[in-house]
This record gives sequence, structure tokens and C-alpha cells, in this order.
Amino acid sequence: MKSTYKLSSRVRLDEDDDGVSGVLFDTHTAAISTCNETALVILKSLKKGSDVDSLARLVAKTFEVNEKDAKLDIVSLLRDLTTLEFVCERE
Amino acid sequence: MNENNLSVALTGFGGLDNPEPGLAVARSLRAGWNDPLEIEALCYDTWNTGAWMPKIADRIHLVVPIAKGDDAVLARLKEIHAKHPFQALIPCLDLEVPAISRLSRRLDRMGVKTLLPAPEDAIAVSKANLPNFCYANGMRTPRTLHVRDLEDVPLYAERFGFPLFVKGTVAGAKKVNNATQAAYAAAELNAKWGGGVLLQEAIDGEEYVVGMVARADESCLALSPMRKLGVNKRGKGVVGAIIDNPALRKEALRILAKLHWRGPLELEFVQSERDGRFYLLEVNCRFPSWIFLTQFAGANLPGLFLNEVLGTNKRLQKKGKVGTAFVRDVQEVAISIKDHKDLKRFGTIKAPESQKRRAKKGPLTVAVTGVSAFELTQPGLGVAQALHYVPEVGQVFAFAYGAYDTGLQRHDIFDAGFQIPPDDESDAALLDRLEDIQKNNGLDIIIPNLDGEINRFQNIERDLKKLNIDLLIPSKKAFKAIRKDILFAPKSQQHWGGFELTPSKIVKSRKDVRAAWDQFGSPLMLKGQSFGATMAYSLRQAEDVWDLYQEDDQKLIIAQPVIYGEEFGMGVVCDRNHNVTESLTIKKLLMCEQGKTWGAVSMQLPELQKSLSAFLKHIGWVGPADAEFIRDAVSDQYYLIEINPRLPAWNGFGAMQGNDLTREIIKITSKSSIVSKSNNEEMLFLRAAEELPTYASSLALFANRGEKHNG
Repeated sequence: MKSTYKLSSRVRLDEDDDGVSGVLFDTHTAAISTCNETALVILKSLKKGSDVDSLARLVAKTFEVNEKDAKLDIVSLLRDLTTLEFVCERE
Repeated sequence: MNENNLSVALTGFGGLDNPEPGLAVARSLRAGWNDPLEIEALCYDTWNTGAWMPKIADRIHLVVPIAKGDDAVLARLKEIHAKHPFQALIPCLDLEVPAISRLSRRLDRMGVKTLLPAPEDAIAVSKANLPNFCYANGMRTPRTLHVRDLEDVPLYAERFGFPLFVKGTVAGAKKVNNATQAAYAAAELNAKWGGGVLLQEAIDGEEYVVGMVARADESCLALSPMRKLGVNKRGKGVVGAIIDNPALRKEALRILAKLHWRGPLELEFVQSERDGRFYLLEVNCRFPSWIFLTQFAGANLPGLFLNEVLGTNKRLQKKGKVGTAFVRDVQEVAISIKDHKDLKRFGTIKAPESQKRRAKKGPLTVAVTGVSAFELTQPGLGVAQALHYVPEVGQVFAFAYGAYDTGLQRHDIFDAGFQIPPDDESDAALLDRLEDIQKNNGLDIIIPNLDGEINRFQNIERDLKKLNIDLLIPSKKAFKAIRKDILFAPKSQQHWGGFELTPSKIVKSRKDVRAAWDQFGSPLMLKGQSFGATMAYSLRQAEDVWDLYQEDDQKLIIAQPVIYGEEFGMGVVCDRNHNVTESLTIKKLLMCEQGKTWGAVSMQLPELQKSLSAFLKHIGWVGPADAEFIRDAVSDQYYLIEINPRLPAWNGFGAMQGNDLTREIIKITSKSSIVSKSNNEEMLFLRAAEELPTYASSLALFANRGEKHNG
């Protein structure tokens, strides 16, 4: 069964006016991560919840990149976000 | 007073660069009360600069120090209340709370409401008593020891291990890394507060604070947790953001339940990196100085408090918007000397009106550097303020080195902010950045305001000229001539008519320290070549200070005898023929602990100015300079302390009172025929802290993008 990932309620995603960058804000600690265009697309999807394969397809389509490479980057990002408790994983 | 207006009396308008909370509480009430409100500012002396800021107090009163006893304090409050009745009193200093609490019933009979803890509850959580309180109530707090005899400090400090905090019994804290630093810090703090010092283990982790208001029944009315995002070298939170951390909230409420508290308070925590738990550092029995942030966030704690105290039943929001942030900058005003004297003579005055600033309309775009009050108040803030009085200027840009440069939030004086490369990047990178800014936004003149960056701008001056960007800065030769080791070298000309150079010895070794001690005696002033000035009262202390400078990688220092007397600052601008074309002299009346000017009056010292002009001509100076002098209290001889290669940080004062060094720079660089106005000697310069709103996300976006546009 695929795991789905969702942004934790403790983080808030603020999009910049230009719509291609943003800021991930941790409401518990005020820690801030700035997001480039690719990260923003992924994080917006994670707001609703998504799985690795869906995210990889989305990134590959949006940025015209290889889906396999996109998947590797997404897995790495999700690992970091999980460590920070910014995403929750559900089976 | 309008009889229909509510009136509140507040204390705590002093503190300078470590501001007392009264000004922030007043700002919060002004911004958030939304009904007519009058504020009586209660001050212990005429130099509580916060009370003089525009649109804060309706009246300023001198009151009796707490040390004079409860009866004397109450008598003065009664006297003020008889002429200017107030309905509530909010003490904003820790030492006042037990005293005002003792007086609360008598105040209530007068019609003045307070909401404060019982005196014994406030004393139970004082700095010296907090460790015992935490132990008795099962609260986590760092290991702390109260050392009354300073001779024991090195021994106990070694036992604690380093790093370690040395704290005053009332206020102040210094982080130290060895016994030498601990002893020095202990001497300083004990001299100020008495009672010995507290040694406290340093727990690695992020600092959090919680502002709270407790009701009369000791329940929590509202709380506002904040994380310190930017902490300066003195440990003060200068940038912070509202958070919503359930574990922190739970801990704060648990502690509140044990405190039996009424009224405002602040809890300070560190979250340990080791175990993730919150350790209580301090309990402050009043509003914190960052409390204006709660107004920015929409949950105004002073407003909620006043509503509770008076039972006015306003519907006020209690939960602040998470991510709302503040930065602490400065505000400067010029007030009439007469008002200042009248407060001293009569004890009560009506607060002065605020000054209006003209709108900029001219064609020139000017950028300034040195736009932060994060550590010290940098001169660019005053320069930018002064530029608003120059009609030829249309836009003013802030050139910042980081998102925490506090002036970036000054929408009133900067039209835009741009990040420029720091000094560890190449000159080419700086030039590219400036060219890019000019291409996209326009740029005519740059005014550099930090000593350490003059060299970089000298390196690219010609290239900037090719881009039609003007500077007015000294040559490398002239700049070298004011370097401390050159200026105060034994072979330099010592006598300049109106002033002499301070007798000095260049110190490159411990042996030189001893020789300087033998030559100049006690106390001895030791100055770093690049930064720092420390007094030593014994040879042992002087050698300890030498070690501290070595740790800071300053291999050469200047030793001078301490000269006692009044201090003066002279700001000048030299044209390209090395002639002083504009000057402004001040007598420094109020200085912060960092030695910076927070209060001053302008003066005419023609002989001194003539001598300085001769000196600057001699070394071929171009551009602004800030010369600092001291007048020996016994001989009246003026001694030169140092010359800084830029406008003084108090430069905004010149513009406010009609004598404008900044305008002179614009005149020379733009080759225009601006006419300067005459000097008005009747004004007093004052500076106070000011919290400005922003968002944590905005700070991050600036760090990412490197620019922001206001308006």
C-alpha cells in the first residue's frame, strides 16, 4: 500500500506574490525555509496530501524532467521534511 | 485632561539601547485601545528618552525613586493624580512591582486601579530566588549559584565549566568562556546592581519568551509566545516572531499556576538541544519590552490588561497571528531645551508636539549603508532621516548586509532596500550588484556609513564614476592617516591649537601593557585598532583585557590614560579641496553602555572647529568625518579621541534643527547650489528604541531575493 504524505498542521506555506517561490514557516519554532519553484509545486501538493509517484509525475510534467530523477529528489526531500516533523506519513 | 478620556499612568521609559518596557506598553495602548486615552509618563529623571517620543505621552512627570519609601512614592502619585487624574497605574520595572503592590489598596481608594502579584510572590521569583522556587515546584531551570563575594567567582566559574552566564542580581547577563572573562563581567555587573552575581550554566538551545497577563483570580487571560530570531552580542532579542508551540504553552501555563500571579509577566526559556525540554531562565514581573509585537499580531496584551483592570468589557482578540514579527530599530527627535529644563524645574510638563517632515520630491536617488540598530545604532539611519529634509532627493535606498538590518523595516525613511555583498566577497561582486541596482531602479549617489567598508568603496570609486554614481569619500592616504596606530603614533604632531591628541602608547605585547600601565597609571583605557574600548583599574585587569583583545584577533591595541570630562562630537564635510564646508558640533549628554550618543545638545566651538579643519586639510581629507573629543574637567584642554571616516550616528539631529551635513554631501556630489540653513542651538537630541512590524516570511524573502520595495 502506498504511503501518502501531508504537510503537518504545524507548518504554513506562504506563497510569494510572483507565485514561483515561497516560504515554509514552522509555527512551533518560527524556523523558516525558503522554497524555489520546484519545492513550491511539491509543497502545494502536499498541502492536500500526495504520494511519491504522483509527486514525481507532477514534477516531471511541470518542469519537463526525467521522472526517475524527480522521484529520487522527492524521496530525499520527504525524508528531510519528515525528520523536521513538517510532513506526516500515512499508510 | 478631558474628563471623558481614560487616563493611564506608566513607568519604564528609560533604558536606551536596552529599552525599558514602558514605551512599548504606551505604543501598544495608543495603537490598540481605539477609544480616547491619555497617558501620564512617570519618569525618574528627565533623560528617560522614551517619554519624549512623539505621540506617546500626554504629560511627563518626575516621580520619586522607590528607594525613598512607600509613603514618599505615594505622596508624589497623589500629587500628580490631584491635578491629572488617572484611572490605572502600570508599573513597568521589576523593582517597582512589590512597592506598587504594597500601595495597591491605597491607590484603589484614590480611584487608581492596579493588577499586580502580592509582593512576596514577586520576590519569590526574583533572579536570586528563582532557583529555589523552581526546585520547590519541580520546574526545570539551569543550574544557578548566587556568589556574593566576587573573589570566589573564578573558583565557582571553573567548577561550573564554560561557557557560563554571569548575571546581575537585578538585570544584565554576560556569556563568558573562561575565568578571566567571568571575573571581569562579575565586577561590572556587581558595580551596577550590587549583591554579588549569579553564575548560571549555559544551556545550548533556542531562546523563547512568553508574555502573559493573569486575571485577579490568577487564571490566564492571554499569553503570547515569541521566539527570538535575532539576538545581539549583548543577548538582547532584537528580532522575534510570534509562534504557537503547544509544549511551550503547556509549560507556561503550568508555571503560571504555581506562581499565584496577577497582572502582566514575562517568562524566559531556553529549549535544550540535548533533551528538547524548556528550561525556565527568568520570570520578569512586568510586560516585556517587545510587547508592541502583540499589537502587530492583533492580540494586544496591554490593551487586554487595561480592559481587565478597568472592567471595560471591550471585545478584544486574544490570539495573535503566528509569524508576525518585529525588529527593534531607533527613533530620534529634537526637543526644545526649554521643555527639558521645565520638566526638571516643575516636575510635570505637557509632552511636546511631534515634528513634521517634508516629502521628498527631487530627482536624485541616494543609497545609504549602515542601516541597522541590531548591535549599535549605525549612522545610515540618521543619514536617511536627514535626506528627507533635502528637497533635491527623491528616493532613498537602504543598502543592507542581511535581512536583520533593522532599517529595512523603516518604510518612513527608505523607499526600497537592497542586499549588497559583504566584505568577504570581491570588489567586482559589489560593483556588479551596484550596477544591477542602478540599471533596474536608478542610483545617483551612495553615502557609505560604516568604517570597515570605506576601503571597498575606495577600490571601486572610479568604476562607479563611469556608471554616473557619485561618492564623496577620502583617499586611501587620508584614510590611513586617521587609523588609530598612525594617528596616535609618538611621531605624529600632537598639538593642533584647539586640541591635542590624547597621549597614547601602541601596545603589541604584554610587556607593552605593563609599560603603558607604568606610564599612564590607573585607570587605563585600552582600545582595539578596529573596535572596542575597555577601562582597566589594575595591572591585572589590563593584562586580562589584552588577552581578550588577542582572542578577538586584534594584535595591536592603543593604551591611553582615562581623561575625565565632557565629551563632544564634531561632524564635518570636506569638499574635494579638503576644506570643511559644513560642520555641526554637539555636547554629548546621554550615552548608552556601548558609548553611543542617545542625548545631546548642539554647540558652537569655533576654535576647535578651526583646528580640526586645519588637521583635515593637512591630511587631505575629502567627505564626511566624525571627530570625537573630550574636554579635561580640570584643565579645559580638548583632546581628540578618534576620527571616524563617515557621518556621525547622531547626524539626523542636524537636519531636524536646520544644520545639515547630509545636505552638504548632496550639494558637493551633485554640484548644486543648495543653501544650508543656520544652526539653532536651542534643541536637544534624544533617541529611543522603536519596534517595527514585519513578518518572519518577509525577512526570509528578503534574504532570498535581496531586495524589497516599500509603499
